[in-house]
Amino acid sequence: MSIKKTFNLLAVGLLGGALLAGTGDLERTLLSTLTDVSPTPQSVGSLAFGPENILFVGDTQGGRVYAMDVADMERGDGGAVEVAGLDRKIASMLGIAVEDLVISDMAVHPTAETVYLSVMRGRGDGATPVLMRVSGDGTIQVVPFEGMSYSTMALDNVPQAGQRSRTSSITDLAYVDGEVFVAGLSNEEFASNVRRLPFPFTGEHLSTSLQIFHVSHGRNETNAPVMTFLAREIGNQTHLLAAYTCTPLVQFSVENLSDGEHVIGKTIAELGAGNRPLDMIAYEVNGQEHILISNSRHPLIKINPGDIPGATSLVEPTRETGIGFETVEEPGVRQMDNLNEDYVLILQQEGRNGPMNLRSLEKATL
Amino acid sequence: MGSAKNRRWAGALVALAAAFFVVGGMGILLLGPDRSPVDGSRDGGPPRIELEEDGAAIVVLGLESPLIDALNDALSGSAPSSEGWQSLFPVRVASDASSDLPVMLGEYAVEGDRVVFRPRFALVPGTSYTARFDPSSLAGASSLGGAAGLEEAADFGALAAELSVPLDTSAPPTRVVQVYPSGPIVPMNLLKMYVHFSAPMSFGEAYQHVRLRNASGDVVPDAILEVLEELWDPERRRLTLLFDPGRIKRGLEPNLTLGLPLRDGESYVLEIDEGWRDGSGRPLAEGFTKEFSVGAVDRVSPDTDAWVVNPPAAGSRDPLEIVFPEPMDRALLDRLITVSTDRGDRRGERVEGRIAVTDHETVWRLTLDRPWNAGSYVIDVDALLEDLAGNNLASLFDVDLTQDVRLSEDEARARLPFEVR
Repeated sequence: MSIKKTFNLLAVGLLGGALLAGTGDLERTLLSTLTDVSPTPQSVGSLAFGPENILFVGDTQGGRVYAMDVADMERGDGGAVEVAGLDRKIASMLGIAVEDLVISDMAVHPTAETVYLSVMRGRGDGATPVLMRVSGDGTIQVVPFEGMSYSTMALDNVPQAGQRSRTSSITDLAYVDGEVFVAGLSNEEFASNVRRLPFPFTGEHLSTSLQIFHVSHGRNETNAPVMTFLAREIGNQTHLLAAYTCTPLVQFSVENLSDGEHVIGKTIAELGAGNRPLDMIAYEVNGQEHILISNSRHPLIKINPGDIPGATSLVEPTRETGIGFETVEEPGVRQMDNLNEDYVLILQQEGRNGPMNLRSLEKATL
Repeated sequence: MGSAKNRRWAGALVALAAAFFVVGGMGILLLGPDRSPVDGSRDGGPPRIELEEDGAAIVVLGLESPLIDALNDALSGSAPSSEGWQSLFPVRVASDASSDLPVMLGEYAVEGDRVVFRPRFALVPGTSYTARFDPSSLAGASSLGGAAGLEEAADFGALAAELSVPLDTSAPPTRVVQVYPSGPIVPMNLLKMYVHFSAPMSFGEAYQHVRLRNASGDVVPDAILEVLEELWDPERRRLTLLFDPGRIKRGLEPNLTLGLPLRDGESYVLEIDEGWRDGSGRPLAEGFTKEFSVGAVDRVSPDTDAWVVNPPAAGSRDPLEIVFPEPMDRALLDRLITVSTDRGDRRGERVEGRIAVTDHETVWRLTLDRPWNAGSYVIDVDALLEDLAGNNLASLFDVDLTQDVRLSEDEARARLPFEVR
């Protein structure tokens, strides 16, 4: 999950200036709406920083999205962050075997350049959600929920009789122009499930279910859960690039999205069989933007977003067609984010069940 | 740091020097420097590390007063989670207790004649922890200013213990109670399976314990989509397994290169191994297998016109019964078929009752806790109700734009009126 997702949009928005000015100088227009204290999420999953460095946190088990003020006053130094065996270290601090640790997502604080990780301590009945923070020098800390300012919004209305077994797992979220977009995956019906929550939270959904379709093979139209997505400005319009379970990369305009509408996205690439897209970020090198996608099986895939506006919709969505992409031979990348101007931060697993390392990749060498 | 304090330290440590304690497992063995058993100190109990009964604290007991005083002096200015405390009394998970790793987070204190560690997060039942109490670690600690008088403390012994909160084994072991679809034949483009358990399960390890094998016993690779979030119900007693949609959807690359995960006419076994841990951390009572064979591909939306509705008699407690010509998605049957009184244009009153699904998900029954009143009723079928292949009332799982029709949810929703006489 990526701040870059929101960064591009914010940079041209009213709050962009405040964001760039750093935490200390922030306007607290949105932060001041986080009036509740000491959040109690049932789980912590998807993470994304938004305006005024607010951290959005997906709570799949509680069916909620939280907006948290992590009040991080550190200032990043633009350097790299490296922590070998991060999962073992966190497990040891939390007093669990490393097999009982689940690292769900990672996001870098935009100005502090500190790394936030959503983790579950334990996998069973007593599993506890914990927010961890890694500083530039490798120091690992628990970010306490006690005393933290927040606001929250439920994703579903109170379940009706017979609905108790239905859940909507949050696969990804991002702040986009005054709304939090939440992609999800139902444990019952198979459908695309993207919600738009106006922020500051009002208790209202702008939409409860966006029907986003894509077309394969020129004739088969289908919808599917979105696993990870990225918001970008293309031709003065906000677009979402969405990677699906099965595994096309589809682009569609946010302006066309409204409740119950039948929106057909443009399939621009196919990420390959036997693979799940895990995370997606955009980054810049010398003014040239790139998009990086991490995958469960394939190496990192690098796309030139400049190819997207002119791309024709894929008729034969095979890897040989669609917009071109390069691969970056870094296997096992579970999470990514922009660390700072020079580095992309990755959480990378050695082998199938090996240790998880936090590494910084120089953008210029990717 | 004053020399008086150093002398007290040295005295206390000399008192301790007589014993080097090694504690193995849950039993305690006290050994002197020559590895022979030694007598304990005061209070009738030897110096030892114990777990408090509720597991909320690990305590060092049986320490002599001079050592307690010395600890108080040495650590009185330290934060309750300072490095000095952590090196004096580190607690780690026994399975990975490397000294390179950070210690377990928590707060320390001297309380009376006990040294107490309260972990920030509760000890996990079934996990072993190594606790070590080592006053010699303070000898060179910066908080003591590197006092020369304490250096000899490094020669003294330490206490160690391996501790654990036992797993709760009072409940019967968890088992798989049902898998849906429950029938012997599934369509070639089967989308989902539901696995039901007798008690809540753990999360994050599902795909290590579920396999699909073909008739030769080989694991079918990439058949089941691994979803990081794992699709559990809120109680974590039901897991939804998705057959890889990319292989089922026509025209996508996984479909083109790998084909459907299931083949027409073949038989398969869904295999669940007993190593899967339940919510309490215990393995399943036993493994589970479900055999099924594969029939033709299903690319037809459920047709409610073909459903048979058998109304109950007025005044009876008989169920309302709907018979489907094909098995339907088990989970959605609980939620997407509703019954209400029929008031024509006006919204009727919802009729609530107990839903039962039988005959391999081809029969749906609604039983009320009172007799049925005579009158007109209507069955509302939500457009998102799916068959086993993910086809719903509005559209197929994947729509061939050249020949199939996709309806809006409003167009596709079905109303089936019936009379209770």
